[in-house]
Amino acid sequence: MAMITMSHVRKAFGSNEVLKDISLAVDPGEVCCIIGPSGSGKSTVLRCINRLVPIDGGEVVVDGLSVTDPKVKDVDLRRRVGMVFQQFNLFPHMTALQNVTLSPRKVRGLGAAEADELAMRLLAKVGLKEKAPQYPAQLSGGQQQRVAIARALAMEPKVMLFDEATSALDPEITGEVLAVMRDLAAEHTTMICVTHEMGFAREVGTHLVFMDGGVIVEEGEPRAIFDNPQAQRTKAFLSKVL
Amino acid sequence: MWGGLWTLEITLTGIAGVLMVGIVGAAMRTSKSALARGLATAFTEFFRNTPPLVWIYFFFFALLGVGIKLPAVVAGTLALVFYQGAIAIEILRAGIEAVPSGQREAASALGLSPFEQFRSIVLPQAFRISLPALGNNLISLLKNTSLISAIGTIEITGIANDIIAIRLSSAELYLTLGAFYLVCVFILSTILRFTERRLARYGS
Amino acid sequence: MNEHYFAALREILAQGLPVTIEVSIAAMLIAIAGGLVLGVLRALRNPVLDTVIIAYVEILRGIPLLVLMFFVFFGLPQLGFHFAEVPSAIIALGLWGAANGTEIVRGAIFSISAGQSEAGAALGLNWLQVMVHVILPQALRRMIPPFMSLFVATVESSSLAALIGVKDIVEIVRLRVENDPALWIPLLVSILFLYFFINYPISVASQKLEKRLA
Repeated sequence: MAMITMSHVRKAFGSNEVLKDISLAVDPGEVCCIIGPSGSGKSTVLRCINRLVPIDGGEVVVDGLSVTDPKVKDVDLRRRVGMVFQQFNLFPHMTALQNVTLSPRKVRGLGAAEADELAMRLLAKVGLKEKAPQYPAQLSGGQQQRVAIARALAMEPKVMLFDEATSALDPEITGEVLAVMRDLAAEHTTMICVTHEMGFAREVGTHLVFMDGGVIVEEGEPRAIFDNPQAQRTKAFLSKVL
Repeated sequence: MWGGLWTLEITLTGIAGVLMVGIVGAAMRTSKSALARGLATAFTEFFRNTPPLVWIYFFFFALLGVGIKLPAVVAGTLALVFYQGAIAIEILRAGIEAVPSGQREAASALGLSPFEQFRSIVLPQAFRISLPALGNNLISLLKNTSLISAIGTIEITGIANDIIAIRLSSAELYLTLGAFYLVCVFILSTILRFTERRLARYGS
Repeated sequence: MNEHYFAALREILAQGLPVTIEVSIAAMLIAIAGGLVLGVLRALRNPVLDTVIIAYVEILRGIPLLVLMFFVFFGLPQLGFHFAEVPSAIIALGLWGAANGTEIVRGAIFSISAGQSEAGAALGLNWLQVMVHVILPQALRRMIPPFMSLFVATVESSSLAALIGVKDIVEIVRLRVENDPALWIPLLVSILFLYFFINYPISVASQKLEKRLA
């Protein structure tokens, strides 16, 4: 059974139809990479999965839970879905450790010691154990984003969403974040990544989705699409970015 | 309701005065002369941090003490012009500093004298930038005219108090008084917003 | 004349000043508490609540504080609510302060980037948790300079209480000059400096804080 199923999802902001008819299935362990020009609705797709944006029509099922079912609480949904943002969005008034322990303590109800232990393990996993007592302002962009990944992993989610996780980073630093994402993929974490990093999509991705103007134009195996795009729009986009 | 007309007249005179004080003061605050800056800063900080009511008393009674008898209206208006003017100086100063320095450089390169630069290039832009804050300042001026009732019954609050002393029907009268000011503030705000939008056409 | 002046000055400092400060602080506490509650409620973005709160703020800021004070002290008794001078002044100043406080709190909360509340929500925190753990800790720091300015404005506005009989700094001056009009100039100048020495340090501190937080 697919981890995430989106069926005929529609979303408009005012008169602007951002998502026209999105149907997508993501299986467990898949690394689904969504690429496409700006404004094609890629970030909105992610936000529909964890109800940060309510959908206007269609259906989204995450790990058996329906996003449109009012009986499904936000909390249950979001505990299964971890999200990493382009602007990191770390909480500046908390240390790296506190950023990571906030959700386990407040949402999952873990005790202080348990939460700290979990957080230290995750920070070590992303290579930042020594930075635990430091504040975001003292960390570089790449380090902040890695803390953000640890923070999302602290919920022990079934799926990790990455919204252009490396776009705000200097080119030399994207490597350290992509390395963490690569490790997660190797551990068979289900991931959906909106990205401009074509290299990552090609080497690590298992399912490529090309979006333009609120619809999925082409999807399939990454290498196949990169080497031999079928749709005209896909060809045009790829020729510009590759 | 002659009081209402007086209120409006005081406000309009006040606005003119505040703008004059504001512009001259802001020019002094940003001038190269340390003396001008010092004087303007002292003036601004002193008036800004002291109650307008006390200034109204000052211009009426203290001047009386040295033999200058100003009509209540004049004393009150003068006091408010200085008080709100000091605040306007601060606002315009911030506005002037927000004008990109490239503007002044370009004006210099075109051969304009410092005075001309200020008058034609810097001030209009500073004005546009400061308009929201200046607008609030002018609305405060309108509301502070009620303080003049402390030294005489010319404007509308003073007259209302007089009527109340005679007729003792204060609750409705104060509500009506409040409504009068709300309407005036609303009209003034609308004019200001309209002006903001017209001036916004000329750029960021 | 001299002894009259110093006697008046003593009374101003010993009795007027405490009254001015107490009225100002009491009103400020109402302003902060009211501002926090209403400002946070604005963050809910509930249309009904918003309309009520906006109406309150616009009305309180659209009428002269003096008129409000007169209404509370002279007008309310007609409707059955009797407040003495000092409580009337505190209520009027407090209501006015809370209206300003609401705008300060709302401005601070809305100045926190949307990404912060997004991240909080994505972590499974509910609205209240996001407000308490993520937004307010950051917003509170930004509220301090404007609230300091509001305190300066409150101290200045407290002088209006003299017009309803509260024995603060201004009222004592007025009472003293009734006996000796020659005291007008010296006393007025003295209290101008008194207010200045209270407010100026706070203004300067507020400006410095604002620069540091920027």
